[in-house]
Amino acid sequence: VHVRAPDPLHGLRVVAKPNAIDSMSLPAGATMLRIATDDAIVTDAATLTVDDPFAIIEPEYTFVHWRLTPEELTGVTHHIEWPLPDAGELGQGLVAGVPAKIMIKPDHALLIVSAGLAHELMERLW
Amino acid sequence: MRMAVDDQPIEFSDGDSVAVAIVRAGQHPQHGGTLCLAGDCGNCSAEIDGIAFTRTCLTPARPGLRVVRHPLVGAPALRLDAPVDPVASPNHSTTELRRSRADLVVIGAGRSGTAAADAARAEGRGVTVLAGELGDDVVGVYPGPVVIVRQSGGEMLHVHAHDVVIATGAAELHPVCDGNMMRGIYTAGAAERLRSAGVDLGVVATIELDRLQRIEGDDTTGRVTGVVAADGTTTACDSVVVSSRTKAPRDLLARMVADPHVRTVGPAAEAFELPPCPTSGMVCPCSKVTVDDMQLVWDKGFRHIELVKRASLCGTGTCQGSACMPHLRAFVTAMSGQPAAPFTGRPASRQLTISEAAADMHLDPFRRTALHDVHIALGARMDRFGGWWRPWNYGNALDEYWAVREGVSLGDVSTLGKMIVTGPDVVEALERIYPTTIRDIRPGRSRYVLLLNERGHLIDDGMVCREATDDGSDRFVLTFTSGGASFAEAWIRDWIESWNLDVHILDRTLALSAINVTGPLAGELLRRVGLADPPRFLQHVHTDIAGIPCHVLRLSFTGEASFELHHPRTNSVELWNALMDAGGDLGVKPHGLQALFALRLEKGHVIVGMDTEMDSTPRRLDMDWAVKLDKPSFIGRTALLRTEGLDDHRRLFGMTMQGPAPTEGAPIWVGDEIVGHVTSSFHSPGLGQTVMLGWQKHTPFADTVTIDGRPAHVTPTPFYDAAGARARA
Repeated sequence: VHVRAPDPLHGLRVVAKPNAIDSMSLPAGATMLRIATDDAIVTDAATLTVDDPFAIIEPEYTFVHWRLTPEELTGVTHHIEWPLPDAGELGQGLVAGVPAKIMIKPDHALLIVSAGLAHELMERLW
Repeated sequence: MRMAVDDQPIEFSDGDSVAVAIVRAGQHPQHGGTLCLAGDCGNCSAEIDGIAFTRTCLTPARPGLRVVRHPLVGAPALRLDAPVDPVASPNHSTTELRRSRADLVVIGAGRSGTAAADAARAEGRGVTVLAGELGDDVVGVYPGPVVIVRQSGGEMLHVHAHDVVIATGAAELHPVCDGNMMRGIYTAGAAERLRSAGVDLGVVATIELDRLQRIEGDDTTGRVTGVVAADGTTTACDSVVVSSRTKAPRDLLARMVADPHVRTVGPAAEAFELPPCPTSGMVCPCSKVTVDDMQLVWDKGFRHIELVKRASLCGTGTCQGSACMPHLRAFVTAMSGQPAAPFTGRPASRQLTISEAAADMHLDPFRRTALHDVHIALGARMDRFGGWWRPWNYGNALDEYWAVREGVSLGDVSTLGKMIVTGPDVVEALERIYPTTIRDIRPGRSRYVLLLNERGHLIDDGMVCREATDDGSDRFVLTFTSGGASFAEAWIRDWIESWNLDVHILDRTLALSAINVTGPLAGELLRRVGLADPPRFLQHVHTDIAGIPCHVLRLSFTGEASFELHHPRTNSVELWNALMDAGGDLGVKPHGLQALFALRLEKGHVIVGMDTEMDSTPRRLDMDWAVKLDKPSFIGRTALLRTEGLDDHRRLFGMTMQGPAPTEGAPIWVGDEIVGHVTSSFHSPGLGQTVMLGWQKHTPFADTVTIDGRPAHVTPTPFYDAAGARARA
C-alpha cells in the first residue's frame, strides 16, 4: 500500500432537527455524511439552508480522509470488526482501534478520521 | 541435519518433528512424562527459538533450530528484548492480523469435520475449514462467533462466522499412577508415530490404562525400567506404551463458548467412560499437581470441580486440562458420588506470545494537536496527558515560568473541550446542569463553572460563554478540561435527552485549536497581530487575528493576563508562527504543561482529577462560591443540601513550606498520624517558598502539619496576586 498523507475533509457541519436534515437540499457535488440523526457533515458545500432556526452550521475542520482503492480497502478491513456499510452509507467504528468512518462509493472508498488521530491510523494500518 | 537442544547438537531426520527428533536422540523434550505427540498435552513443550511453551510435537525440526528445555521447577525466564520506555514504546503488537468473514467455519478436517463440511456445502453454504494439518492452529472461539487462529506463517487470523462446527475429535488418555513422570512413556498413538519415523523404542511393554498399577524406573536416569500391572505382574522394558479403550473428547474449544451458533460434532461431542479414580501419581503434569495435592484440596472443603481446579491449579497449565481433565473428573466424581462435568475452557487453547495475543490490539490512541510538529521542532519533550500528546516542557520549565510571569508566552491549549449549544431550551438545560446561574450571563461575557454529578461531587470544570447573536437567540460556547471533555459531552447529552429538552449540541473540541497568549505583555503582542481592542477579563469576542478567525476568551489560569485564541485547526501553525514572529523582541517563548501546572498552583487553581478525588464536593475544595444553592434545581443540588449541615472531615488546603518541594503524593503528618497527602507541589522562585495543595482527612484540621519531616503551614490561596490584579490587567 502506498502510504500517503491524508487530505483534509472540507465541508460544513450541521446540527439540527432530524427532519430538517432529512429535507435539506444539498449543493451540486456535495455529499452528506450522516453522523447521527441530528448531526451531519456536508462535504464540498460552502453554504446550506436548513429549516431549523436553532440549527448550528459551522465550517468543519476536524477530519481528514484517504481515498482508497478496492484493494486498499480490503487491507483495511482486516482491522475492522464491524460489517462494512452498504454503498453510499456511512459506517462508523474502530479501525485498528482508532475511531473512524468509512463510506463506500462505486469505485473507491473514503476512510475518514479525526486529523488528530491520523498519525495513529497511518502507523497502525500501513 | 542438526539442531541444538540445551546447546547440544542432535541429529534429526527429514520429516521429524522436534519432539520426534529429541526422542530419536534418546532424550525427552521435558524432564519426563507421557508423550502423546498429537498436540493434546503439554508434556513436550519447550522453548523454541526464544518462544517458551511451544509444543515440540507440532514443530517441524529444521537445521539450526534452538531448543531449550524448561526448568524442572519454576517457569522459563521472561525475556525482554529491550528496556521499556513508557513514552517511546510502541503502542501495538508487531504480529499481523487478518480478519475474514465466513458463513460456516468447520474446525477439524477429520471424519466428522469433513462430513459436516460436505453436508453444509450440499446445502449451498460457504464453508471454511480450519485444521492443524492445513496450517491453522485454532486457539480460541468467542461468542459472535469469532474464531481465533494462529497461522503457520506467523499471522493471526480472526474469522467472524455465522456458524461454527467444532469437530476436533478425541484424544488418548494419559496414565496417572506412580512413576508416570518417567521418560519412556507413550500413548499408543505416539508409539505408532515414533515407529513410523523409524525411532527405536527398545524393549516395549504395552498395557491397557485400566490394567496399569504403576511404572517403575531408575531414579538416577529418570528412565522407565518396567511396568507393573494391576495383578502385580511386572514386565521389564525400555518403553511403556499405554493404550485405552476409550478416548476423551477433544472439547476444549467447545467449552470456551456458549453460543447457539456454535455446535460440536463427532467424538468431540460424545460422552465417554471416565478412567478409574486415580490413587497416586501426577494428575496434572503442566501444573505439577499430584493426587495427594487434590486430596488435600478436597479435605479443605473444595468440592466442586471448578473449585478443585482453582484451589489445586489442576488443569490450569499449558494444555488446560486436555491431559488431566478425565482424571480430575474421575476424582471429583468418586469423591462426591455425583458425576462431575468438565470445567469451563478459556482461550487460548495454546500458549500464545503476547504479540500474538495482542495482534491488532493497540493502546488507546493519543491525539496530536495541529501544533505537534511545531512543538517537536522547538525541542519539546512530549508526553501523554488526558488522551493527547502535549509538550511537558521545551527544555527549561523555569525559563518558561518566568516568560509567563514577566513577559509573554504561548501555550497550546487545543486540547480543551469546546462545545456549542443552542436551542429554545438551552438556558433551562444549562441552569439544570451547572450549579451556578446561567441566565444572567450577558452576551459577550463568560463565567467559570463546576460540573457536578448527582452526589454533588466535582467531575469537571470550565467556562460558559454566552454568544452575541444577530437575532438574539440563545447560543453558548462551553469549555471543559482536556481529559474530561469526552465524558462531559456524553454526560450533558444524556441529561438533556433525559429531560427531553430541545437543545442542539456540537462538539468543536477536535475542529478548533486554541493558543493561550499569557503574560503581562500578552495584550501588547495581540495588538501587534491585529487585536486592537482586547476583551476585558471574562469577556470574549470573535475577531480576526493575523488574518485568522478567532474566538478570543479573556480569562486566566496562569494568574497573568491571558487570551485563549480558539481558531480553525487548519490555521493553527500559521497563527502560532505569526505570534512568535510578532513577539520576537518581547521575548515570547512557548510554555509546556510543567510550567503551566506550577503557574496555576501559585494561583491555587485545582486541576480536576489531580487535586480532586472521586468524592470532592465544592465545600471540600473551598469552592462553595461557585454553587448557588438557592437555584431551584441543578444536578447535585439535592445531595449538597442534604450534606450542607453535616460536619465534614476532609478538605483541600493550600500550604507553604521552606525548602524543596515534596513529591506530589507525599503523606501529610500531624504528630505521628498521616492525615492526608500532597496533590500538587512546586518550589516557587517568584514567591521564594514551596507552595502546595493537599488533603487533610482528619478533624480537627491542623494549621501546621509535617511533610517530608519539615513543618508546612496551611495558607490561604491564591498564593500569588490574591487580588487578581495581574489577571485583570
